[in-house]
Amino acid sequence: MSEMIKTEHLTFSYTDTVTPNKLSLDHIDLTIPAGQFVAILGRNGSGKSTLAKQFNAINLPAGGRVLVSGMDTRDPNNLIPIRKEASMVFQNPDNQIVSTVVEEDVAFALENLGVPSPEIRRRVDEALKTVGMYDYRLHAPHLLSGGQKQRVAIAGVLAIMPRCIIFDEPTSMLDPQGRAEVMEVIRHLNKDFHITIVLITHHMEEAAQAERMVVLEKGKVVMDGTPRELMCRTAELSRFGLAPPQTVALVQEVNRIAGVLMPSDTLTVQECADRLQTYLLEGGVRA
Amino acid sequence: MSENTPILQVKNLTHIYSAGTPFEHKALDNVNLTVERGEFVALIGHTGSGKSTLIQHLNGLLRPTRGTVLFDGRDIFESKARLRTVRFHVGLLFQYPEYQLFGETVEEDVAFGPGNMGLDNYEINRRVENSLRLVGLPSDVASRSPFDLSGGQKRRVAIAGVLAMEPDVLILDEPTAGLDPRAHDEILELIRRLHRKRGTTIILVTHSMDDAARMADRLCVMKKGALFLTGKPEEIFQHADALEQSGLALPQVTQVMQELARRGIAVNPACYTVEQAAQAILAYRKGDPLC
Repeated sequence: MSEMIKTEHLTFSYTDTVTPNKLSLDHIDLTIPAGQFVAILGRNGSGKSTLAKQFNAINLPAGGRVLVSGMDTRDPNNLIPIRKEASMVFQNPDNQIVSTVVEEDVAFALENLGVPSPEIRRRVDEALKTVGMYDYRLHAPHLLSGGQKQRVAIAGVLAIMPRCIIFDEPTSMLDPQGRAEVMEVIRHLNKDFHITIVLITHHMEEAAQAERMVVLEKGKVVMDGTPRELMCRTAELSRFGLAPPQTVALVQEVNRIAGVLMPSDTLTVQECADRLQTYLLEGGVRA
Repeated sequence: MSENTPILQVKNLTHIYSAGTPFEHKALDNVNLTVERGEFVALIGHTGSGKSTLIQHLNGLLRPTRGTVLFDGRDIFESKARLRTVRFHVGLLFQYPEYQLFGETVEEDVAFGPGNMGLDNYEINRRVENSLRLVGLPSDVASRSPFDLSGGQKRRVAIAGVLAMEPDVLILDEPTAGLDPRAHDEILELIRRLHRKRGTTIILVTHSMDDAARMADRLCVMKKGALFLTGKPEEIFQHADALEQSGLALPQVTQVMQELARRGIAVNPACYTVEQAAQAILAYRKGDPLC
């Protein structure tokens, strides 16, 4: 599998008068293969968003380098090709919507890139269908719900046809329904279009849906593995300001009180119910 | 007013946005709500259910189209002076309150509210110090610019700004949105402490059934501009299906318990914390399905 994003000894620091020597990113070596769905977690200030901004050359390395599809982000000539390859969706949909009509908003970047009109039409329609917003193409964005707005923002990025999309906490301003809608679209893009997904999130249930999770602390990678391996390492997660999903916590709590040793890598409600069902029905303790 | 008068009463409150235009929209439809002194109420509901519209009536930011809002038994719109007083007693913290910080220093920002109340400098300083301590910010932060602080710290500064007015009622709109799990727990703990120590009446607006159930004495679920369900957490969670239909996400533990119940394992499907659910499972295993 080819490498979508690769960082080598990446360091970065913001101009900070209080702690001038603090590295926001401290020698990060990370390789994200094309087509992977990776979640990046860590407490506020751990460097997640700072790292994400290195992935499409919004910020440039202070030391080391970042390669996006093999292109070095430090080379100014690579800027436009990198942005087409790896696009970003931000937290607040209101900050990234520019037009008064949904389809015009989705077409915005394409117009800037000088894509021919018929091609724009085709790509905008495709993108809106993919995120399930085609029926709203003539609506005004500001009258949509948060989840709908965020899906329009995603369509705007999709129309550029990037191979990688970086989501910086895309659901944190949405209600549960909006969150579910956006996560559904993200999974769809990864599974059916093989788009590489980098998802920055605080929500462990969202991270649990990824193939891989990377935990940052003080600008360093401190955990890296599959959610199934890492989510049950409660003590370690807690040290980095994170808590496991409730489906893991529940099995661990039953283990603790009953003194049993069920594996607690239950990432979904179904898996958790399965494990507890086996526990409750085995052994015939019940009269 | 007597101690027994509810601190807030909302009577037959209807609010229509853009009345008489093609964009007319009824955001609140005949809402009745009473909040007792010292109570901790969580207001939950899907986006567009009317939560924000309702809370903006509680300190007079919005005027009712029909109906009344009483603070301490008296109409808050009785006079201009009355409205101004009510705003000092009912503190409202908006979503992402750190966007509203503006002071050059943290101290100046927190002092803004009490300054407006016409308090003397000694009292203002006392309140600023107290509030910063209460939200758990170190005292050296006071002289720094709020814009140099981390997201979680900025949120605390914004909360301190409301606390410095020492309101009787504190209304918080999604106070933990966008925070990491640790900061989220810390802010909730801070709210709990305020409620216990100062006896502040709390109205917490949230999407999270989980937080609502853990924190509040009473939950009020809104749907389409009306109060749809109200009661203690364990009562509300008995209506799991209705809650899901109104666009709310049940805590994962509740979903697990419901799934077990669907599979014919008679555990209590209304558990909403990990601890409760674990107890219910162990009780079932021991053959005591009542827990």
